[in-house]
Amino acid sequence: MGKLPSLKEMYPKFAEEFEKTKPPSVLERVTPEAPPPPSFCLPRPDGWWRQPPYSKWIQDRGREPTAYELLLDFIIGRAISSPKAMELASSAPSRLIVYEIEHPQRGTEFVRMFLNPTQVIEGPPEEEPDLWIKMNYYDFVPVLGGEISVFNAVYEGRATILGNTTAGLDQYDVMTAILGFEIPRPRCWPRGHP
Amino acid sequence: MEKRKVLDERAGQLEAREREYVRELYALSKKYLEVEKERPLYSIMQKTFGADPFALQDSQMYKRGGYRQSKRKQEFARLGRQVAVERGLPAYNRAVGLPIGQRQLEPILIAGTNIMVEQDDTHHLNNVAIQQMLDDIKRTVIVNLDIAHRMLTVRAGKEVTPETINLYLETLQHTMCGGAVAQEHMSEINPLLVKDAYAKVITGSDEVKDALDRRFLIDIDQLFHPTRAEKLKEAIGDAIWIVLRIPTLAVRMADGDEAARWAAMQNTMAFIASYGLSGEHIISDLAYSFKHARVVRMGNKMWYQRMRGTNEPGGFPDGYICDFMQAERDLPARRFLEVAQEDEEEALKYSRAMHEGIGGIAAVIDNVLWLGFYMSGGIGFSNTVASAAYSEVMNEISMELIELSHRYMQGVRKVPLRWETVRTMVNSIIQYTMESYEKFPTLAEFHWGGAHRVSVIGSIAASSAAMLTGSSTMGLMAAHYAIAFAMKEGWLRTGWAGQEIQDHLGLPYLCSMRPEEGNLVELRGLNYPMQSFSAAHGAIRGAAVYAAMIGRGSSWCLSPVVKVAFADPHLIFDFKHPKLCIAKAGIRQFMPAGERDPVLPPH
Repeated sequence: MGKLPSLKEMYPKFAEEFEKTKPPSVLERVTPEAPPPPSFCLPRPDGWWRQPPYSKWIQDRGREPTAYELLLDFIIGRAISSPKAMELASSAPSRLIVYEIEHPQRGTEFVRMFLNPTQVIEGPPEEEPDLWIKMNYYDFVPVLGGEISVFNAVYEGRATILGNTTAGLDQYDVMTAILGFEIPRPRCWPRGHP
Repeated sequence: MEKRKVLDERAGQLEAREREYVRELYALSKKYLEVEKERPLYSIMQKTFGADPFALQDSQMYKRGGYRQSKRKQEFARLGRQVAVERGLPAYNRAVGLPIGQRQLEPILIAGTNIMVEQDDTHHLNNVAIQQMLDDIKRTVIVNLDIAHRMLTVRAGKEVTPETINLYLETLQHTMCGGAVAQEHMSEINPLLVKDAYAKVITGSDEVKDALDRRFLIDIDQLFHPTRAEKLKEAIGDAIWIVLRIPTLAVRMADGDEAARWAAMQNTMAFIASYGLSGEHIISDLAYSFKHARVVRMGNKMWYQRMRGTNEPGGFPDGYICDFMQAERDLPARRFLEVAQEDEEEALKYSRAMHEGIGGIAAVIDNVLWLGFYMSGGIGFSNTVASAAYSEVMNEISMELIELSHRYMQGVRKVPLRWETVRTMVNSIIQYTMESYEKFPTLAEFHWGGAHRVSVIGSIAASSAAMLTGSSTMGLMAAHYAIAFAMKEGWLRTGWAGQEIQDHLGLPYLCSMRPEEGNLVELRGLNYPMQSFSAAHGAIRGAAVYAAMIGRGSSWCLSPVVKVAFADPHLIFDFKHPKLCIAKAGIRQFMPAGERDPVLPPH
């Protein structure tokens, strides 16, 4: 048996080579951060409500509409003209849905929406609502504009809902019908389910 | 006085209005029972009870003939008498204790099969597949050979070539079966007693794989979907690991700690014989490395009061328990969210795989074996609880959740690790599952205790949250929240299941990385402090870890070598189809290992 070289001679760059054998760290492979908001959910330039398609249904009050005004215009400008939406809204059980909308400058605005009978009221709720939705104003705008689904904002972590999920689905049905789409209801909570 | 009267009247009116509102909703919900009949749950319950799943009253109560309605219990009564006569001492005797069988003793339809088994057949002493599952885990040790090979070349000046490795592997099969190689006058073992002892190689390198005898290889390419195989091979790399399986009989006679000792001894003997080693320095170093250096044992040693060695269930890390599970290995390694957005049917396959693993392995190891058998002495309750996990119910509830994800999560890029987001999902899950129990009185009868029901809710919450976020911590948080929420806001009475879960709910314990407080769920285990030890809660951690792995599209939870080791087709228990094995054992068609027949008198 010949004389064996020392380990240092056999592997002169051992430390370097050993480092290369390691897989990348878990933190490099898994990013816990939420994805950045899509461009249409960022604050909009002044006068955005005068641009189409928003100008078709938002009344120009000479300033950016409040959350209440936005929802009211949406119902008056879009929902009333959709027979399917009206049919859905009148067939759902009576629901009270509260929106808590956070505006970067104006702060928190509350708007309540009744389903069956349809009604939009400004201010915080006086009774316990079926569903509470909390979201940013600039997420609320593309939701009403049909650019993004409300569930998209919820599941990407930019909106929070609390309460009865079926009330959320009822409202979602109405909103998608207003926007001209229809999503079939899941088997677990068919339309009209309490 | 007058004012008080007015106030009382007003309160009464309010209460009446509230009641009316609730009644109205209740009446409305009855309208949807017709829709519920389309659910697979309806037919499962119909098959299980042989009656209308919506029935609120049991007209057959007290008329079923007591325990005689069960063939297995009739058999037990007969055999109990036989034992009593043979030994002259009373044995199992249905004449004592509470009369049973006034309600229906319903059988269990095992998920993914068409096999109905009686509840008694899922008891771990009656079910040999459950025993074999634990034995197969306890008798496994994985050792890295690179250290030994380095030692042979550098210290002993031996050459390690494919030929020598193959010779060593062939010798190892002999020594693992208790064959002597280096000395005369050694007692050897009847090969029929140890026919399940063997050793096989794992490697991530195609070059090394090509050089080895295929009989001794656990072939990652053959056993896993190419996308999974690629990731596993990359993680294992050029290293050579050897999976040593000692005989079942040995772990049944000693305990799990025997595995590493048997393996180290026989592995050393195989090296001595195949490389012609002598001289105590090298041999003692080899033996030391096989016992301690890069040796993967399936379970850690537990603290003194538990008095268990390694490879015993209390020490299995949750990540390893989920690496034993193999049900997903044929599915492409993709993020669950993407799959659910694209195709409901495909997502269902992932969900079924997940429940196969959680129900067939985690629930058995955690609830039946550790909490029920090792810790509390092994009476029937934990087995009964596990029936919730064997049956099709979890799959059925998950089906609707997949439908919800498919319809309402289109365009979602990634679910962030935010509690508000996860809470939204969990609330929907609790709502739906509780509604299912309320609409199906038979389901509430099937999962007859609060512990059953809330643990099902917890397990479903854990798996759903973890699948959508890919985070096991989020999954566990969802499970604890779901159980505490069902208890606080829902049913109030949750039996054993909800007693202490609130204490484990908060961020300080769940998300802390301080030992003894919190940890990555993968690194926790059954014996971990500061977590729920309630019966049936063990499986929620398994659900969180395994579902998170599927959610991330990963190929393993904690260890790629453990994952590959349990894909081995030579194992007696099939870790890919655990529920099928349990069902087969229930109808007495599963043959375990470790029998002593070759050395017993004819019987």
